[in-house]
Amino acid sequence: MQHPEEGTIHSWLDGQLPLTEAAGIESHVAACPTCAAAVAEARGFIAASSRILTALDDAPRGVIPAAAPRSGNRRAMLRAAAAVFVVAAGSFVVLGRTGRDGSQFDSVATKVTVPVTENESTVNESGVAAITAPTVSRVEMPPAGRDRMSEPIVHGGTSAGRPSASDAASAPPRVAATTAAKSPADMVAQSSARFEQRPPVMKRASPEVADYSVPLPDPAPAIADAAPASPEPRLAHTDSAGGVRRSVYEVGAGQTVTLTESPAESMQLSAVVTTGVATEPAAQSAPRMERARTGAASQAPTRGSAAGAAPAPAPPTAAMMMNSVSWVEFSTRKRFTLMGPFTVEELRAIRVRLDALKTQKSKKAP
Amino acid sequence: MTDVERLFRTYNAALVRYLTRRLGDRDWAEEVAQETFVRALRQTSIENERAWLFAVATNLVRDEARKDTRRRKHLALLAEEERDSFSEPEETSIERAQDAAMARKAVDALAERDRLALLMREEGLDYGEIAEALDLSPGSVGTTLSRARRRLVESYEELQKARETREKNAAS
Repeated sequence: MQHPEEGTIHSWLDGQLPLTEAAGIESHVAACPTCAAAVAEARGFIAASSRILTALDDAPRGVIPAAAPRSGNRRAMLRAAAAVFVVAAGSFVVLGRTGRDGSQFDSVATKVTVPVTENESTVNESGVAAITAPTVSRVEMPPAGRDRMSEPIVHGGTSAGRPSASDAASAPPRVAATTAAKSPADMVAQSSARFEQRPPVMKRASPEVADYSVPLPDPAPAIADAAPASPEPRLAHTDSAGGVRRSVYEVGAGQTVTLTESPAESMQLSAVVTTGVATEPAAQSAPRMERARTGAASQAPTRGSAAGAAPAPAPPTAAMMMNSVSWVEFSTRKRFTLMGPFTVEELRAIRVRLDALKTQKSKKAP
Repeated sequence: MTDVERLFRTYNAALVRYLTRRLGDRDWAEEVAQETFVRALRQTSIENERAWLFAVATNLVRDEARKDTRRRKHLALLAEEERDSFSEPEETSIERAQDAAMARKAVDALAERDRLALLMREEGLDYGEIAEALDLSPGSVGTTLSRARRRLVESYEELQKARETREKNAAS
């Protein structure tokens, strides 16, 4: 038999040769020292290239961290805030999440109506608005109502019932949650009325941080988590304003997602990022998100603290409640962002399910 | 479980790893993988799922690389911020970063077809699937892979030698 070529040796070692051919090579290699050496070399190349390629797996990941920043890491928090701000600007708000600890709150969705390019002024005039971002500040309400309106989103509604944010520091989260379901939430928006299909009382997200602060090793659990009950997201509400279309989906019992799509051209990402990071209010508003996640109102800085007191360090167990994923649809160049109290993996799984829904519809439609 | 969920469960991890190695940006890789699954939804039937997914992902990378630099800049910016927020033990971090940089260089030095075939093989695609995804003849996959592996290892070793020489010079 002729000496096999290098490519054939690799095919053989990869187990990709037909049985008869493989047997021929095997017996030849056993008898031919030259080829035995070539095989040894090929084995070395195969192993070494696998090892080299493994080094590439540490590639950085980006946009929104799924895990909680380290305790006291204000800088990371600030960045997370800025990042959330950016994506929120594009599109999506998710509110309300069913948890397991039995506490309650009501959450309120507001509406994205103003072009993203106006974000910079928003950040500068209102720190709270900066984090809940365009989503909140965009609501068609008098300026006086703005800050208040922003709270239900950031806090998951727990603070909405307070006359001022500084009271929150001492108020047990549970109490705040109860009041939130009533008064200011009503004032907060016309938009809350749009969610009548959602259960009126919702459980707080579970404080089991492990669910959120540890990246999932495998995408499969993400799907399982995101869709425990209903395999299909259900469209609860949709509207559009100023070229921005918003759809609210229920993705499980008591869990809602709002999808906003806007023309990709309206995004000025780098400008928004810069503003968000550089502006102090963004830092102040960041801990509010942690509070939403943990419900530990007493641990979070209040608006009163914005006057000068340093924000309390984030509790070590706190994880980001709001995450988001954003993408540009390849065919239309429209920008979508999905944001809500899920891990990034979960949101990605939800996106896939939403796309599945969309596809099914378009198949039925024609 | 819907079909797309099954696809996602079965192939997402491998696809993301393949794309991460190809692109050097995990976030970007995940986006492309997502888009790939979205495309899969629009198909009524796919004969060889794995080959199809890898081929579509590869083409998406190609297309996107051509037309969307702005988005990539944005991602790179955010990825950099994210990197900053992680602190690892310094030695490990530097060493690993150097290894990764050398690996990146060595992989980038490969011809595109060799690189893709190798990355697909690493994700377990068989020769038939690689041939289908890259539009090669099945008989040429072994040759392509042997060339890719040899070149990858050789250029990596050269980079390693150069680094050792530099370090020696710096020490003396």
